[in-house]
Amino acid sequence: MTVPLSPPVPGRVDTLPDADRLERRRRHRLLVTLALLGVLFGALGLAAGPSGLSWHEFVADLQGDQALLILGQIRAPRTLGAWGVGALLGLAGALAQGLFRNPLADPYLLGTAAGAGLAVVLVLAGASLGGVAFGLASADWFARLGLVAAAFVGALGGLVLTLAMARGAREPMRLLLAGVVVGVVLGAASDLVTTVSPEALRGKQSFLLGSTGFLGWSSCAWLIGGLALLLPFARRHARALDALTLGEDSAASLGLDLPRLRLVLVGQLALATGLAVSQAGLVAFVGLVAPHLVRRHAPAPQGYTLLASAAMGGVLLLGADVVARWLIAPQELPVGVVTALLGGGYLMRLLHRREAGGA
Amino acid sequence: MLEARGLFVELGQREVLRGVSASLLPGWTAIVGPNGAGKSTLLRALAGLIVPARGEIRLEGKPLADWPRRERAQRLAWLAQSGPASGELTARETVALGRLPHQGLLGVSTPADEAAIDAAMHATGCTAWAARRLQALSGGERQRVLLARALATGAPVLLLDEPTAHLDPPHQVALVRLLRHLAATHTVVTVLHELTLALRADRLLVMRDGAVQAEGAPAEPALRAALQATFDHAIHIDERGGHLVALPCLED
Repeated sequence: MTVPLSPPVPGRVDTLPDADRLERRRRHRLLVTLALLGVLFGALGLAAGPSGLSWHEFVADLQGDQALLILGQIRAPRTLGAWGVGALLGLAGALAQGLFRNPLADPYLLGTAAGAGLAVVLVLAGASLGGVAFGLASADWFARLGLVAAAFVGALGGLVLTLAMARGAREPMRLLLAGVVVGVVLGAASDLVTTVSPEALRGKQSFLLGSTGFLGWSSCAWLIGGLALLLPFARRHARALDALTLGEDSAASLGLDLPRLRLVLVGQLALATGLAVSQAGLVAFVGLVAPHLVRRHAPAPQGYTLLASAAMGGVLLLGADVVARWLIAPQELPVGVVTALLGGGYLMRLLHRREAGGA
Repeated sequence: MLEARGLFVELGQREVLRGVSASLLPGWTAIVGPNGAGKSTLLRALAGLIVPARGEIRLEGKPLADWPRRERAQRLAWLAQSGPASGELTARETVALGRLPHQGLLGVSTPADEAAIDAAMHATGCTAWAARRLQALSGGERQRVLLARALATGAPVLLLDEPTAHLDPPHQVALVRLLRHLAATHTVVTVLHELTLALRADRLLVMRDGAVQAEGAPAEPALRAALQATFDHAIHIDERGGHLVALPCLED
């Protein structure tokens, strides 16, 4: 039903195919850089041992009797798993910021983390009451499944509670405030559970600090499988996210079913966050910072931003994991501490630049 | 054709539209009236963005609510009063969103889509900034890109809420020429505050306090009188060089 248009409103002749090409080149360059950094940090992740980053130790590890165990069963799944957790958080952050049209939206700010945290603590407490002990370190497939399911349901529950308190996603400030309230309330409930069941406290602590130390091949299967499922699914809705940048009414006038769209995107956001959080705990700032970095270096439609944010998140957490293992070797920092420090520093710098720019 | 019958719309506790009936025929209809008259609300209701408390809207004889979303979006294009000031999309990527009703979420852009995008950008004179992001454009440039987005839908009914907002006089004049041209093949409905521009429309729908005060061609003396009365005689409609102009009555 296309009707022809004609007389032009005055304007210059289009002379910008070069600008378009430049834009594409910049986007392509960022993806290549992220892939190279992923390989580099992956290699460092395989090499980082108890003495930090030592070439001699790495060669000795390769030649030793335990090479298969150390590299194949500990460092390789940890490295791949760290990338997977970061990629899921980067994807979740890009989804949250696109869906709520708010650059401060973070998967954790919307109640998902607190919901997942409470659910995981409830499972840990329930297991200890039943005489079963497991936690993030558990390699048991059934226990893992229970934690993943609990984290997913908890993340979805936290987010739904936030959306209900904010009466939808129309007002960003109301939404963020609701997220803070839900986070505080569910956090308090989580504290209450650990008071009643102190056995869950240790598991909760490692959960809150975030750690890649427990990631094995079963974790990798969940993380990479989840990412392989979620990334194409999220990118299917990228154009709808683009349309939302025009405003909700304009998006609706283009034939989009917004209530259904929100539900589907919220489900993807909760699944991505729930999967990441269930395997590595609350790794801070990656979900918030990764889309920011992508938009800063290569602003683009959501189809690209979702993909690049996942790649950026993976690289950020992989790099942070290497730093966490190397900085105070032979001891390790919880990776969530490193990401919080790096992410907080980045946001401070961003704020400073904005103030300097506005002055 | 788009038709409203006995529309009542409530926003919050306030009744914004009170029994509005109007037939929007092919050609250009300008909705005018003082602030708070319900002009934009009527346009949003016609676009299916507000569900009326009572009354009915029919598109091509079929109730608006019975149209599948995508099919409705292929027939009705809507331009918001104010668009986004930021975002990562370039002007062309923004205009390309107008093709969503034809492509669906998974659709790949076809040569027909590209041609529709090019034609819309050409018609609104914004091809020069195709690769610039919205946030790098002035208010007027952005408005032209958003108008191109509405035109790119290829819909035969265009509902435009203050399309001249932020435009300088040369571009206001050019836009009116474009609207006049579009009126030959489309049903164009605009909300306009610039009365002199609105007087170039085929028909005026004069609103006040959520109701239609008068309807008809600008040349009709009765309609002109109703228009002046609706604005409390703060304007005077005169004829200059064969065209109607609305002048503010500044004398005491």
